[in-house]
Amino acid sequence: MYDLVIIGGGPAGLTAALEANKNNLKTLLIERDHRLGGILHQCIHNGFGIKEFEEELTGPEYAHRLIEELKNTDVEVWTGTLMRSVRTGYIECVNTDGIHEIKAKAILMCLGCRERTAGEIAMLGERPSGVFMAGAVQKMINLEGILPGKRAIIYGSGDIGLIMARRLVLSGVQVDAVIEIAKSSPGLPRNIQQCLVDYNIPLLLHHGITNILGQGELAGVEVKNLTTGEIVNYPCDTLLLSVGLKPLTEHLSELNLDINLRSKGPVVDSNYMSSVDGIFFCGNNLHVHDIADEVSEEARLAIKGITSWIKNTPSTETPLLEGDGISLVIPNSLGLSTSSSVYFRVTSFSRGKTVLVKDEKNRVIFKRRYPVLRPSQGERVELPQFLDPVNSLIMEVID
Amino acid sequence: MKLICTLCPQGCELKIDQLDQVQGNRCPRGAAYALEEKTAPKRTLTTTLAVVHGDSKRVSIKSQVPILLKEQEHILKYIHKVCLTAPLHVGDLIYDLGGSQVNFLITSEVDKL
Repeated sequence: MYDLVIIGGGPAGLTAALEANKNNLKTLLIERDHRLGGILHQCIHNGFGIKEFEEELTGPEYAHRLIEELKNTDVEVWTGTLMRSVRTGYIECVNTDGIHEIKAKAILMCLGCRERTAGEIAMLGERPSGVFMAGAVQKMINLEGILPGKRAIIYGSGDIGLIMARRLVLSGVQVDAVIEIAKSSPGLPRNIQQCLVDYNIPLLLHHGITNILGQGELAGVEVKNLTTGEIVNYPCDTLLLSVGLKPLTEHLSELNLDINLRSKGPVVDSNYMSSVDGIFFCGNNLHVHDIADEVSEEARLAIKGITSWIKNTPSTETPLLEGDGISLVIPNSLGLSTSSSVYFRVTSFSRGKTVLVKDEKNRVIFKRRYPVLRPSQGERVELPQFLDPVNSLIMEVID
Repeated sequence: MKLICTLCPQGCELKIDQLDQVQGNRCPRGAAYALEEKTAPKRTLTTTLAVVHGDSKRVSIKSQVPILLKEQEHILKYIHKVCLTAPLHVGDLIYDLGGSQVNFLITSEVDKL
């Protein structure tokens, strides 16, 4: 019997395992790949670790630090092991030794996220070869040494799309444009600068791909300017789709989780527990983060919650709701009389606005002015204890 | 000149004027960054190289120090011809990789097969 079984050995699972060990939880970490580290292995660019290690690391180095640290702990690690089934207190998994039935007090899901597909954005046109998911091409180039083509268009300017634009150019592939349907890029400002501006790659905002051209092999894409209605054909042999990420919950349909329609991940309470007793979530499996460091930060918060839940510390939950100007809050409820760390995203860009949290009687428990708020950049705040019982709390952006 | 600081994910919006006065930086590193960007922008160069006799086909590397942005393409032509031999460990330093006159650090583990 384990105190905790963690599913997934990426940045969330690794950090959670380290923190669980510090909290003296008897822990098993399960990873389906033959090695720990998850998606970090293919993210060879730098920019990782600035918050966690106060130095700039590449993805593989970030993974390496955590993996090395884990070797000095009592955490049991099973790689090459796939989860088959899960319910409260129980996991069934399979590896080359056979099928294993494992009992655990708590289960922490760190499955990460997946890329949205052509089907999910209702892409029109033909289905020739040469249309790829951006993350798949990142793996092809960085881990396999295979180039997808010679001339590429990228659809979507999220961080993976931006990073892949640079990666393709540095690998000798011509990138004619990054096409973004929204009026502003969801990518981090630093990635716009160092991935597109540095290499003179045009970013076409408020443009959409309206047709995929080519029989058998990709010949080009039809791009529509959504402001003027003008349509231009771009010849290309490679199309990369980088149209958003989504927490991986399809594998967990048997749990019948309550899903947060904003994050597309599960609803969690102040201990990071989902609607299913004893099943916890963190990292990109809970909601898609901007950077790996924030995933690690959240993993520690989840372990704090799990430790408290295992000790049976009573927790009175007060719902935390998204008000005007707030698109997402995590967790979805807060515990009474404990200070709480809350992650949030705003709906629109603003300068000099204030974020506040108030109860149903309009008593303000938290207030902070932000020089800049961007929808593409999630923020974390530490809320003070609130001792009076309240029915609900709401976070909003005010002038 | 307006630019976005790329030193950390905060992405400060910097302004640098003709007298090299910097505005918009939230830390001192931002001011130095703006000045360098104006004169000679540098970036850490990351890529992967082929590996023989390893448990992975490729190994990831990064330049030991940031290098001039305009020299990246030229340097990559030298280094992409190189094939390394396992084992390779994070932090291993390769001097003058492929005759590029740039030192690179190994950033991923490749064990001998």
